[in-house]
Amino acid sequence: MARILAVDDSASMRQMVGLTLQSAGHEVVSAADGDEALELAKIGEPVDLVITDVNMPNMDGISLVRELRLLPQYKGVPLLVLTTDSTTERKSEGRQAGATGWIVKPFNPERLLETVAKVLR
Amino acid sequence: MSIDLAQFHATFFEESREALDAMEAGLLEIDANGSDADTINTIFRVAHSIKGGAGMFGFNDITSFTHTLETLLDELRGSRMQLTARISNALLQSVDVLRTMIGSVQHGLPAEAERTASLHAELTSLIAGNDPGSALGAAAEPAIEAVVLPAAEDSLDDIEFTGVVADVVPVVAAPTQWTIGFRPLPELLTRGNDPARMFSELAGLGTLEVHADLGALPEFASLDPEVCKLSWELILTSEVPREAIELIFEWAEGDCELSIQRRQAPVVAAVAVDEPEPLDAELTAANVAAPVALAVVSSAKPVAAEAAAPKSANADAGSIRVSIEKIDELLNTVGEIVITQSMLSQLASRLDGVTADRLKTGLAQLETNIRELQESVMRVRMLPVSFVFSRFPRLVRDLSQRLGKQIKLKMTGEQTELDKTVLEKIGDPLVHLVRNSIDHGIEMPDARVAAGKPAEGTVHLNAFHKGGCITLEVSDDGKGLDRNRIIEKARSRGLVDPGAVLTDEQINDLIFLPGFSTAEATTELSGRGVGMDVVRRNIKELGGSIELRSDPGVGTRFVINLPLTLAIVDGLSVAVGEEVYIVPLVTIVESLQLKPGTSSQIVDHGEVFSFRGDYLPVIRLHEIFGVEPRARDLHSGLLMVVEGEGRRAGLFVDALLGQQQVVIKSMESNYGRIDGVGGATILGEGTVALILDIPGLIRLSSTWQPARRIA
Amino acid sequence: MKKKQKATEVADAGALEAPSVLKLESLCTLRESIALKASLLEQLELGRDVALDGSVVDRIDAAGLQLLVAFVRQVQFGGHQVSWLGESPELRRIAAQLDLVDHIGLPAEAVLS
Repeated sequence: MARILAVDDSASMRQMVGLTLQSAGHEVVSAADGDEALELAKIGEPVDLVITDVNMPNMDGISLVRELRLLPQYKGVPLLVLTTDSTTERKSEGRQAGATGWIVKPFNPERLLETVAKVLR
Repeated sequence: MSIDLAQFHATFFEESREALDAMEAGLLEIDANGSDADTINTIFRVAHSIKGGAGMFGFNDITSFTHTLETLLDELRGSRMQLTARISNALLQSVDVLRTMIGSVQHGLPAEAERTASLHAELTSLIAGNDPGSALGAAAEPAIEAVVLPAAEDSLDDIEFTGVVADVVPVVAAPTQWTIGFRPLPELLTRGNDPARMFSELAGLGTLEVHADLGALPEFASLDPEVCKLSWELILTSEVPREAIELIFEWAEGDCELSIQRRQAPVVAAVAVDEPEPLDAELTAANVAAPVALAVVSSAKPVAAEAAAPKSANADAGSIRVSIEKIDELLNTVGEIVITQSMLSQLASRLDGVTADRLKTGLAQLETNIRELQESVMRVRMLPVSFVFSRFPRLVRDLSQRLGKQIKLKMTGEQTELDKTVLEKIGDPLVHLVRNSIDHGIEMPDARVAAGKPAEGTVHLNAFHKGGCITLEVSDDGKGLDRNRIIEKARSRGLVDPGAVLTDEQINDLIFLPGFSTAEATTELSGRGVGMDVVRRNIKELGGSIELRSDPGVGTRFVINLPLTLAIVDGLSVAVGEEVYIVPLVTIVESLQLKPGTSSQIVDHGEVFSFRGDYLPVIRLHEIFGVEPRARDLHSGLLMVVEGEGRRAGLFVDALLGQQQVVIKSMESNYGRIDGVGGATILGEGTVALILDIPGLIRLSSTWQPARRIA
Repeated sequence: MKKKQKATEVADAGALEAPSVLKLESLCTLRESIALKASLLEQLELGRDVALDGSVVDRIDAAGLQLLVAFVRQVQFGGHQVSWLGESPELRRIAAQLDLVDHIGLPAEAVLS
């Protein structure tokens, strides 16, 4: 199955997202903020999907998306943003940065897996 | 498959508490230094994060409360409102209320429903602009009604679920057809939105016909492989509403030109839904392939779920929480390895020959590795001092408000790392010192102004590394110690001879004596029955020392020196007779051999020797521990000048053996506390050596010697 | 178009010459599209018939297929043929989803490799 990078400053969210994805057979790499995620992305094997929270200390999710899109190995890789704010403004901000799409919080594990399956085909 | 969300609750509670600490720190920061955008953002983010988690895990009361809190913070963040004392208080109280709420859902503690409700109402009222001072330009937006959020479960029916949408498609005789024009814009592919995925989702809504348009495709050489030049016309036969189709292209909005037109399906097309024309190979392929592929994906899930289950512990690769016991076990084992290794090295040192040389080289390498391992394990136990410092902003704020003093708290070196156990034990002494500074040190604003100082006093907490130690300082710019009053009091308690003349340092030292308290009337703050003697004892138990410097009218500074860890000490091993003792390296000033005639016996002061213009007492270790020494004559042995708590002395020993790092084994649990001994260690050859407690020894010798009192 | 060859081999060279074979990698997505374009370009420069082997294609997307479409068109424009030696189910599925089966010269019936 796929290799997924999950980024969230909240440990409970990382656990929840991580365990959910692993239970579906995915390999999960996680990071606690954008800086850490970017570092992983730069040195590690490229992943098939990135799921990131928006509000994080240091580098936020939107900046992370922007930075990832500058890396050749992340061209076209689905980057999903977790957000509680589903206003057009916020979504367009994510898209401008290069995000593929978003998952609106709160969501449950089934919902997360549906979306991931959809993106990974 | 189902994932039990309850398994993440503990983590959520823990991180929420940390988040609340951060939020509180931020609020106090604003309180002290005025509001700045970064701090407001941090606080907002923290509140937002708690809200998100609470929503996720179904703690609706917390979600609802944090939502209101977040709304208020957003007003502040967007500069539509300005922070007033009333708002600031409400925000700080929110931290308390949230702590209670978390305690309530976690441990079933009482919920304080009334306080929560009234604070919630206060927040709502503040958002509505009911605090006149907060108004900034435009009136606050009345966007507060949506206080109650839907529970997490409700969102399952979210319309974004294409699967759900497809399920409710009614079977109708004359189906509707949708004609969809889809032309990607340059960024579509690089942003990870693949047309094939969207078409496959569309196919899930009904019957889909796809027509590719190659009109804009350039010749091969000039094709940019990352830009989609193809476009498509899609015909979807389905009863879904337009929104369901738009939803599928939602992520591509702005990255494509999209047109969706409704038209009634001709009868022929409707037939084609049930029995696809055999000639229409593409259509068939599309319809058959998509559901099959989806079935593969979903049937793969349960199998994969079982296989992946053991991996779940790795869910968080960024960091893991490990109980301190496990680390201590590890550290203890490493300690044993150090001992075994040094035993082996000693054995090897007696061997000769080529093989022995190789063995020695190998052992030397092993020693390096073990040393590194030991350091790594120790580092795991280290935490930044900020863990302790973080409680002070609130403390200083509350106390100074209560006393009517203006006090600014300055903290530096918060990132300095220290052993977790030391850190935990140093908290209370520090609180005592800070309370002391606020209570006794910093003057009332008018008194300060009268003394030519700014009305606002400063308490400064500082931490830094010095050698193998960490130094913590608590200083204030208050009135300093009143030495006359201290002497008076000490005399009245019989602690000092009536006629004795004391140095400033000796006077300062008096406040650390048991039962000493300068406050005439014990105040609510410092007078809690805990004296400075307790502070000093706590610090000494950590292997540290505390000193005090004070200038009248200028301020007071407490300097605490602590070992980085309680588990290991760098020491010099010294011999006295058959015994070996370890002298902690940090206490050693110098070692020297006395020439005849440089020591003398002074009546009432015991043996002393001259060192850099001072006369220092001699501590004969063999007398203290009752050991038969090799040297009794001061000139034939060695004097080690050591320092503890600002006092120096000469330790008289037979000889110096060497420097080594030793693992401290506590003796208290087995033998109780022994004066002058900080612990024990096992040496390479398997013998036990006592680790000396230098400040204790110096104190011991001053009572052991004829002169018993400070004079 | 063709390099000069020895006289003995010139006769019927065009008809008998075996097509050059290109085996597609398992990943043919946007991320690999620059590399894919480069290897397709090499084929074009040979100026021969091309036999594509897509039997190990695990993942392909619109970017990968678009390159194949432009490639096939270019080969045919030069008077040569593109044939398929093998195909993976994923290759056919995505090509069908995007209505590009014909455009990459994939026969209606699956090619068994």
